[in-house]
Amino acid sequence: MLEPTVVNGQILLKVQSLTKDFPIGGNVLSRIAGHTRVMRAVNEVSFTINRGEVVGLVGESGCGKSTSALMLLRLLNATSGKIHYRGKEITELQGAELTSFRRQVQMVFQDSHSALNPRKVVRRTLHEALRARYGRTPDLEEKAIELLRTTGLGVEILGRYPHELSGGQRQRIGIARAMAMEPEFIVADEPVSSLDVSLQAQIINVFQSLREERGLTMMLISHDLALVNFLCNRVLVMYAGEVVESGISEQVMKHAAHPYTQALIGAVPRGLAGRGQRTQALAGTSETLGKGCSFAPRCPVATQYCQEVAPKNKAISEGHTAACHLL
Amino acid sequence: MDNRLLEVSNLRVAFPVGNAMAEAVRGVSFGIDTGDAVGVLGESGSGKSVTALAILKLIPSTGRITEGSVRFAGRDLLSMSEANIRKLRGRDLSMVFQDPLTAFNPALRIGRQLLNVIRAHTSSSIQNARARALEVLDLVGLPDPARVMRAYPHELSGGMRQRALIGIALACNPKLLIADEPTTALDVTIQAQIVELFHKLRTELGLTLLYITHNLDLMAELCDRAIVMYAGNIVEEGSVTDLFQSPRHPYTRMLIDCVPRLEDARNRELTVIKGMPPPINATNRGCLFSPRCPSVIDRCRVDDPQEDFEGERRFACWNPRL
Amino acid sequence: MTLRRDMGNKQLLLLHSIASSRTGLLGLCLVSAMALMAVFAPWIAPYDPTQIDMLNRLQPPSLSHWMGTDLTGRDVFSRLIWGARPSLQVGILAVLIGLPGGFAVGLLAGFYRGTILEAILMRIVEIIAAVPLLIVAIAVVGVLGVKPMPLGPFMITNEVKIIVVLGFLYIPGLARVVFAVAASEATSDYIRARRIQGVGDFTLMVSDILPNCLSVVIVWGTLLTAGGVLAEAGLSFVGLGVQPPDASWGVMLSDARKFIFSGEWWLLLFPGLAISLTVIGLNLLGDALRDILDPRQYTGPRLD
Repeated sequence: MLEPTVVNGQILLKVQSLTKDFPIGGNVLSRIAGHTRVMRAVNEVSFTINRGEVVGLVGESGCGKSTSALMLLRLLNATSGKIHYRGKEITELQGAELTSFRRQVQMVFQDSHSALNPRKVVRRTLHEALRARYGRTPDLEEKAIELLRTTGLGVEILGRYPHELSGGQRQRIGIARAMAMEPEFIVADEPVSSLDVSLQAQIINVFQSLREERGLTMMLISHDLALVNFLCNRVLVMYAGEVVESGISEQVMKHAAHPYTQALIGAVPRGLAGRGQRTQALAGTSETLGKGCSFAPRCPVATQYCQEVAPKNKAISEGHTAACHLL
Repeated sequence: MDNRLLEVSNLRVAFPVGNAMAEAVRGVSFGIDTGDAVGVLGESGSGKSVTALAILKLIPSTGRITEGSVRFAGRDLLSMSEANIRKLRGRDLSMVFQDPLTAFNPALRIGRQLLNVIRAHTSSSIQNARARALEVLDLVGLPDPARVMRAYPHELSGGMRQRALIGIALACNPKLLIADEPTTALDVTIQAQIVELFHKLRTELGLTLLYITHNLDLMAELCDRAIVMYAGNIVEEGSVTDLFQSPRHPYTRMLIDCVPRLEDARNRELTVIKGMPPPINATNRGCLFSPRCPSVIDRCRVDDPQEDFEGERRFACWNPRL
Repeated sequence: MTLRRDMGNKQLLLLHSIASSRTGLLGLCLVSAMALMAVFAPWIAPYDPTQIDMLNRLQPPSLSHWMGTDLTGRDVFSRLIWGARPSLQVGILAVLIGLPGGFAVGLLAGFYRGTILEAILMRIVEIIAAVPLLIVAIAVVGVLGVKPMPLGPFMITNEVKIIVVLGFLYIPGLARVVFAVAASEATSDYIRARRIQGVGDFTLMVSDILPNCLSVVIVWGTLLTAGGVLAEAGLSFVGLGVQPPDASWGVMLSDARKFIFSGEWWLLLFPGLAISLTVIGLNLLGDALRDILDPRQYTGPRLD
């Protein structure tokens, strides 16, 4: 597997203090007026992605990784914070500028029953995507066939409905659809978690070959540490809406600094090597106290100070940061 | 053989697909001794869940067990009446399912559902049943069992629900617990908690376990022996160590190699099994894995593979890796 | 059975599927029979439905009058055949009038779920839903009268007034059904995928969500048509619908009111049967359509 080439450290995406609050409870009117309690799904998240990189966003359910991704794509509006793509602030883009941004950043969704319109054959889904990119050109069909080919599918798929396809095929269509826009940055949200193990490898391969052929920059969102370690050269670990650790994959996986990262790594099944050695599994769930470090309630080494004051990300070594008081 | 708790012989289960019956399980045979932890490894379409449901005679009414026998503690389950097998289910033979949310009745409190099971199978008084319920909830590691008893399923987190489900399965001291992908719907850290729980139940209670999963590494940690299923057949069986270190069947080998692991070097080649599993109504002759197999030889496409035995191991392949 | 593409175009496929379920087939037959009766009335009906013949009034069914004659000697059979027209017309046209409104409201409310627009639209829907048909019908007739009124080049008969009123009152039912689908589809990943292609809200609603609403609308529409048949019968029965001497099943029942206990059973039985069979047929058809159109969109449970 080729190591992704980073082009001169050129920053493609820069996220600063991205925050998202969701109103809970109340009714429509009180929510619009802002008079309900809020749940903070993403809390002051900051990171950068360089051109050519594959960055992994790893965390468990509810940690805010999918919400962050949706904000990157302007599918969800941030409550506060800034997102710079190619140097340009995108959180307030409208109209033609938003459309041009759309061409450059695309998303591949988890294969669920709602990733493809169940009423449209594959041909229609791909033609629509191509039309959005190229307008009404006469060679839509050829382009669609070419897209299928790059994801390893044959022409016969064009006439099928999503429910006639397997999960792996549907996922390839999702990738083809995203690639129709010729993006330079792709966000893949749990692209293989609902697939069988043997099919996951196929889809991972598709991503890799696309990256190599087109120099795509990618962000992979997943709860699967091993997958993230395999595909990504940098990784961000999220917990309860915050980035708690970030750095080069090897560095983070082998020398995890934050107790949550360590627990996450410890929880991954080890196969034969894990027999007989029972590491103490992390107890509890991800409810937070509201102040102090959000991980403190479950942290095996938390102190009183941890429960009072929220830690900030600090550098541990070159390119490796973590948010923990005990470092 | 005295120790044999479960003996499945040549089990075949078919479902209607279109106008014909298609076999989801095509002649499966295996045994579990008391105290064993046996894993069933397979992907979707392998027939692993249908096998488990067939053992408990819980397959959907459209399906039929067309052949084979299931003997549990010496008794033939398939010829048992529904009334008799209902006495076994939940008491001697128990099952934990994948999705803890749908496995519970959302309208009843956990305590009520737990008590229902206990009182259905034992003649305990209410006080004894309650005491047993609290004991069981504590056994599965739930903090504050009394509060859990009063809670509704949706008030608990996924991990706690799964523990409660395991508790219900254990309430009447089953001889055999079948767990079908009990951690797939859970986060990795919660999964580790549940695996730890199973491990504790094995060491402290000597629980006999049949653990169905598609996650090889998870299975390898928990089980001693494993059966690998593909397209309704058992393609390999052996100790977990043997399977991982020297798999005989190409499918087993490729399944192990196609999963990225943390310990691996980052630029390892990921083995890809090309193609897709056959549809349930596939009727090709020969080995059903042959279209995707890198070690396929001519015989594979013509003759159904016969089982080869090697000590405690067996595998069904014309061209195994040795 | 599975729908296979090689069986030809979609309409034939649909018919085949309906026909392969017994209840669907029965429904289809009943509805078709009534529809054919309505369409070919001028050619099938043996007599003029408004022709009075006082010498032969209140005759029981005979060879010359298969269903007997009514209180003014008109042939019941002919009136029954002609009476299919207003019943089916009201049923079908009312649904067609309610459709655009129902779709528009349902799509908008579902797509913009959680916003003020949804709140306003659904409250309006609730208000309309609370309005009883009979009261509105009385009000309209009270204001406009039951006589046909000219409107430009058109003649608005009473039947048309009912159709419009009913169609308007059908909007909430259709809107709710569309809203449910639209709200659930609007949060789908495929809508997100289309958004990031730069597609605007209107296109999303019409091109992506609307097709997903079609099957529920077809089913609900069939059931509403049945309701329309009943509504027409009811309104005509109380004199607010089709006006004499025109025939409609409701008018026939109304005329038969005086004769319930005096033994002229044919005056009640035939129109009553006609209404019942039509409504049953539409309901059965709707059931069959529901079974065919919805679950087949998705694969059956995977067998593991």
